[in-house]
This record gives sequence, C-alpha cells and structure tokens, in this order.
Amino acid sequence: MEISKQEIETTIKQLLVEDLQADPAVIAKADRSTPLLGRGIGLDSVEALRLSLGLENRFEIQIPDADLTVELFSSLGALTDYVYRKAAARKEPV
Amino acid sequence: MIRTFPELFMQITETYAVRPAIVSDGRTLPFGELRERVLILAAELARRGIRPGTRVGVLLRNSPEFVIAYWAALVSGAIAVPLNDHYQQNEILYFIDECELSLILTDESYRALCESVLPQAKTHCDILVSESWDVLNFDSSWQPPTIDANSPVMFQFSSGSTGRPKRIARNHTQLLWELDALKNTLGLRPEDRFLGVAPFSHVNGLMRSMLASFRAGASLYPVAHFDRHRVAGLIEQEQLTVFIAVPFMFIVLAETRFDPAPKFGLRWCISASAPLPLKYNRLFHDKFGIYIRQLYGSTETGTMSVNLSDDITDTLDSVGAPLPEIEFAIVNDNAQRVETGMVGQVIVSSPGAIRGYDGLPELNAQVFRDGFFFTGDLGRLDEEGRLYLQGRLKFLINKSGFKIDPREVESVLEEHPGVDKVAVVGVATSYGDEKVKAVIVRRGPCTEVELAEFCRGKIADFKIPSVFEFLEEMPTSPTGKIRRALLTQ
Repeated sequence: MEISKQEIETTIKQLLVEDLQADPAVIAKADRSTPLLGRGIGLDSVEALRLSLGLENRFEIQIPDADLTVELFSSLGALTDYVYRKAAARKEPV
Repeated sequence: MIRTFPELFMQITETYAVRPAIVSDGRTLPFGELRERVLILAAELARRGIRPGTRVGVLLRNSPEFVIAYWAALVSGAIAVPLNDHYQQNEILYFIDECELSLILTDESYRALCESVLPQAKTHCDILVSESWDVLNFDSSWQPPTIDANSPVMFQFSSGSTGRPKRIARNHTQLLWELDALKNTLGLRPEDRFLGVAPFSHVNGLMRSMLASFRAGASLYPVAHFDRHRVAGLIEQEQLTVFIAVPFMFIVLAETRFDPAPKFGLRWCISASAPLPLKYNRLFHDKFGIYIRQLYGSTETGTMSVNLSDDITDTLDSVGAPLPEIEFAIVNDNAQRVETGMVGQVIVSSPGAIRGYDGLPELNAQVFRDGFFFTGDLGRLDEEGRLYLQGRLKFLINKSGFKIDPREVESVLEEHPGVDKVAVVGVATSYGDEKVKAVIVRRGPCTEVELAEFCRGKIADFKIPSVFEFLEEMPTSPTGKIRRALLTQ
C-alpha cells in the first residue's frame, strides 16, 4: 500500500515527540513550512541524524550521509517530500 | 627508559620506521616518514622562536596534519594546546589569552577565524597553516631540546564549577604512564589498526586513539567527520581492529540500516565520555557480533578503568575495574568510605592524575584530598571491584561526550536585555545523551528563537540550548540556590 505524505509527516512528528522529546505543543503547531533546525523545532545536528535513523527504520529506506544536509531539514515539508520519494523508489519493481 | 614525549617519538619512529603510522585517503605514511615530516616542522617552529615551555595551539580536524602538528609541537619542546574545531571567535580568543599561545598550527579553512581574533589577543600570536609545511626543508643539524619529565606536555580544559574551563596540565611522566597502562591493559600491538574518528582535540580521541596507536607502533586511520556509511565501510574494508569512540557513534551504527550489514573484524570496541545505554550495546552486538566495552576516564586523571570482563553479558553497564596502580573508593557526603555496593561519590588515586588545577587553590582543597581526586561522579563498586556509574553530583551537561558547564551558557544568556534570571540544565534523552535546556525568567520581551540566535557565534553550536522554558519565577531552595533538579523535566 502506498504511503501518503500525510502519514510521513505524522510519523516525523511522532518521532520528534517520542524519540527526541520535542515539546508536543510546538510539534502540534508545526506545519510544512516549519524549519526543523535552529529557528524552528530547534534540532541540532545530532538530533537531525537521530531523526533520520528513525525514518530509515520506520519506512525501510536508506538515507546516504551525503543527503543529510541543512536543506533536507530546512522544513518539515522538505523532509516529508524526501522520505516520500525514497519510499516510492523502494517500491518500484527491479 | 623513555622519560618524555620527544624521547618516545624518536624511539617509536625508529623502531617501526617501515611500518604504517597513518593511513588516510588511500595514502600510507610510514613511521619513518612521519618522523621526517615532524622534525622538519619542529625545526621550523624552533626557527620561529618556539622553545621548551612555549605554548602552541593545534586547530585542525582529525587528519595526518593534526598528528604531524601535535608531535612537532611536542618535539620542539612546546606545550601543545589542542583546540576544539567547533569553537567560535570568543572561545578561540579565550584560549589564546588563557594559555598565552605564541602560535597556532592550523589550515586554510580556519585561517579567517584565527585572523579575526589574533589582533584582539593580549599577547602576540601567529598562525602557520599546513598548506605551507610541504615547502619547508629538512635541517639535519637541528636537534630536539632536552625536556624536564615533570613539565607539562599539553594544556587541556575541564568544564564545571567555575563558569570557565579549568586548565589542566598533565606532565610527561603522567601521560606516558597512562599510555603504557592502556597499551598493556588492551594488549595493543603493532599489527593493530585504529579508527581515529573521536576528535583528537578531545582527551578521548587524543589519548586513546591517536597517541595509544602511536605508543603501540600501530596504524591510525584518521577520519575528520563521522559519516556512518564511510566509517562502517572503512572498518570493514581495512579490517580495523580497535575502535574507541563516544556512545553517540556506536548508537548511530547500531541503528543504521546497512544492506548488507558490514562484517567487522574488530578486537576492541570501547566507548568513553558518556554512559552507553544497554539496549544499544545489545543492538550493536546483534548487528556486528561484538560488545562495546565501557571506559571511564576524566581529563584530570586520564583513563581510570575499562570493562574487559569475560562475563561481559552480565556486566555490560559497568565501566570495569581500575587499571593497575589505580585505586577507586566510594565515599559519602562526609568523605567517609561506604560499604561495598552502596552508592556514593567516586574518588580515585592514580599515577596519571594531576595534583591540582592551576591557580585554583580553594577548589583544589575541595577536590584533591589525601592523594585522591573527587570526581563528582556517583557510583558503586561490586564484590569484584568493578565500578558502576550512577549519575553525578556536578551539574555538568554531557552533549555527545562534550562536557558543557551550564554557567558558561548562562553567562551568555544573562547578557540578553530580555533575560532576568536564567538556569541552564541537561535534559536526558531516550538515547542516553543530553539536550541543553535553558529556563528563563523574563525581564522584557524575548523568544526562544531570539535567545538561540543571541548565543550563535558567542559559544560553540553544541552548547546552544535547543529547549527553552519560560517561568514566572525560578524555583529556589530555602538557602536561595536554584533547584536545578526540578528544571530537568
């Protein structure tokens, strides 16, 4: 079954609260434009890597370290779209 | 008998001249060539006026150049000062002034940072970038100066208690003792291949990877950035045997989806600088077939213990029994020893420990007593003398192995016009690390975004709070002390 972007966004929010102890009130208000680093959710580089590990395991994808850039975490939407593309590519027949 | 680091350098590089000292980006630097490159740079340092006791900073990422710079400083007789490459302008300036640095060995990527602070330094300090070392000529007439074994090898810094890092000056005798203890305890040998991924600017990476591999005549594979796929690939392809790092790196490798999983031939995986949660140790073992051994050390004492127990599955959470000649004791609030199994403060006596901090007599009277260093860590000993750490007395924050003094962060935030009172604490995360949290009582308008931005550039990024909480008033004890334990929720 195809995973929707909404499901991915919900999972990211869930990981932020459960694994990274982000403030649930802040996460509830976050939308696609909310930055994940610094000014937004406030993740640092260690936490961003933790979040990507959670996403790799949840969606059975691999994120190359070269993709772990500031742009990837520039917004909740940017990360959602990236995971969506990775998950879709995984489903393509070989 | 080897008495000083320059003597160690000359002996090891002669004995193992044709063996690989450093392997990086497919290039191998044998000990004999390392010797030549270090002596060339050391002679240049001497030509520039570096003498025994002069202070030389090293601001480089893990690389062959870091190893060459560090050894050249020591061989020239200087006191080396490794600088964390996350440091910002204020921090670099602080260390230049505090250590009276005459020279910083660095590379082009840090030139602008260094040049922006040098004019503000109290004493004259130059930089010498690694890109210029290759054109230096070998001066065969130059000889390393003779050095007193009781003089400092390097200055390192420990966070806590004072709001500013405390300077620690371990001498040649103390550091050589620790390297010998590590070599003997771990059975290190010239055939070993070390991963050098923990930062060499920090005591863990410096002593237990860079210098321990050198002491054993083994090979070092320096890695500048922790890239999990590259690190796993390197360990597998080069069949590395020793991997000493911080919990964060082991946790990330344990959790990463590798397809297929790399096959490691490691002899030792050792984690230091922070506790490693059991579940990640088991996960790492399930994936790579080896348990991670926990090591306990501090900048003041060097390595104190490592858990090499045969019954590792039953003692995974222990940091092990003390190294030979080291003694642990557990004491209560009155500095009296408690019964085996009871929790109290860990105190340690070690030939590798300093006897006090420079210029802090009052603090020294509290924490260096009767030949023991009072670590501020809480722990208990089992019947076999193994230590189990249980938290700490001091309010230090441990961020991926970097210790942060809350006072330093508080003093930055206090400067913001909107802040009346501030307390900075560590908040435990589910993966055994800590987040930096600032609790603020406002004087005027300020938001968490503004406060985080206010810190940027003044302190290293890893010290900037990622969580802010705003309160009407700060919880205090009857004696007026901030009740920090209440703030860590």
